[in-house]
Amino acid sequence: MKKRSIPIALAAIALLIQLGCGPAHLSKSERSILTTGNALEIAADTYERTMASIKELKDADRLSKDQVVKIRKISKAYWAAYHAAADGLAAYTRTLSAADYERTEKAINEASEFAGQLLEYALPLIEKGL
Amino acid sequence: MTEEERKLTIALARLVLEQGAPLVFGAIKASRRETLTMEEVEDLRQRCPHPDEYLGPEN
Repeated sequence: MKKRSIPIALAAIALLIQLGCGPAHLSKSERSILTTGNALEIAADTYERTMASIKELKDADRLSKDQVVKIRKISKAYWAAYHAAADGLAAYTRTLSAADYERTEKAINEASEFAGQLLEYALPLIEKGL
Repeated sequence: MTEEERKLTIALARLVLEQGAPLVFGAIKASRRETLTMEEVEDLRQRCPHPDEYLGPEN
């Protein structure tokens, strides 16, 4: 488990306060890469932490079969969207093409939606399991 | 996972839920660094292991 989660959580709060205040000296394409990269990094931290907690609960037999099935379904959807976004970002970083940008934006929006679903379902289980 | 790490997990999850996942993931515009290198982009592709690695293989 990475020890940088405190700075990331604090950075997320600070960044929310600063919405709309992107670095003005960067080009539009550079800001797009940066914004999507930061969003993916925070999404990855959230997913990895959540799933590590879920694994502990499962290993301790504190999750029902139905709960595991539900978590697997949502997390697989998130996983596919995240990697589509990360692959898209890699392509966009190379090409700066509008098609790659749109593909990446669509995938990150899907990933964020599934991450929200995963957290809504998993957070009460994690809190209850503490 | 330590108790501190569990609390951080919950704190981060709560932040995302309370602010809204699309807002948190989609509207972060400030930067911790000025550029994202290709290597860093590639690192992102290595993140997020498949759910089977946490839950075991699907029956």
